[in-house]
Amino acid sequence: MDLERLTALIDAYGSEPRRWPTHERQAALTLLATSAEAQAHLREAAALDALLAVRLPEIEPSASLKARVLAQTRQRPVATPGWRAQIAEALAQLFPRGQAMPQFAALALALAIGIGAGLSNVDLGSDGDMISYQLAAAANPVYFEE
Amino acid sequence: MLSSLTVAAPPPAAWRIDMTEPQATAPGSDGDLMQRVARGDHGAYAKLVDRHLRHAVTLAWRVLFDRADAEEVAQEAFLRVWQHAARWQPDGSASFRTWLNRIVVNLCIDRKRRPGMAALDDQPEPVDPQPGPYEARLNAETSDRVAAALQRLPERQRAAILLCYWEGESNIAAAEALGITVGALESLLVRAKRAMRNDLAPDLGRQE
Repeated sequence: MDLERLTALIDAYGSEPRRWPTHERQAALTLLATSAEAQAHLREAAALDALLAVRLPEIEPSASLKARVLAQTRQRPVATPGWRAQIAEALAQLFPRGQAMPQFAALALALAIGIGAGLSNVDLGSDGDMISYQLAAAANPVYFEE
Repeated sequence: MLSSLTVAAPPPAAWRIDMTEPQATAPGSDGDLMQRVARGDHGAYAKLVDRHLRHAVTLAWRVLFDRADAEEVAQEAFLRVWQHAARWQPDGSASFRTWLNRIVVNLCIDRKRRPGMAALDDQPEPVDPQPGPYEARLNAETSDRVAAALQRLPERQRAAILLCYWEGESNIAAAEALGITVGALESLLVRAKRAMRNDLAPDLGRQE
């Protein structure tokens, strides 16, 4: 972090450190503590921020808009989740949110199927592979983006 | 002296980020409703509409400054919510509000990209010489002058500052909503704030 970058941060995100990018915030605050020039720049930015801290006008949706928004889905087919989402949802219902159990359970199950198939020398063919893949993908969808 | 610089006073209520949204999949939360919408639950969809339609219209209006266009954008945004509910990940970093903001801003920007529309970022918004009743009131108070200064920004600059300042979005979420890099977002913010500082110079002078 140098003075140029700190100035750029203040110019873009304003005087409140909570708006600064997380990964740069601490370094920026450290430099700010020792730079009179940066502190002066911060005060200038704070004046504009104070002006921008106003409540802007809000728009009340018209009754006809709400009616249209609700009506537009009535004739549309149900948005059906894909198979991965369905498996993930089933696992999420089995295990409370915030626990790692669904991921571990699915991975363990996939692993067991794989090891079992290997040890028993049973040729599951593409079905076995697909089951393992589906369970693993449901547990960790981020790694199985299509 | 430094402590007065680094320990900022709490922001005013109008600017504060609402952190009170219930847990993503708690019953009745946005996440819970989205999971039900993904299964075709019209009641859950209606609840989401009740909860967020006003916000969607307001955000679209603040970007487009046209009520009819804002209502069309909001309607289209909720159609996409219905169609793509299954894609939304309740465990992801983005809240439903952030996801909706992204859809609304994308639709607003796309609207301006249509053939016949002016280039987005190259020219200032024309100011209607015959302001309507609302616009006529814009000069009354500081907040209205801020809104008027916003209106004079090009759409992308306006969307950038709206997302980062008034919607409380992170730089990454705002950049994603606009389909640009974080560096490009910072450039938009700098230009937007420079223009607003010039526009609001009399008000800044009164502060000092």
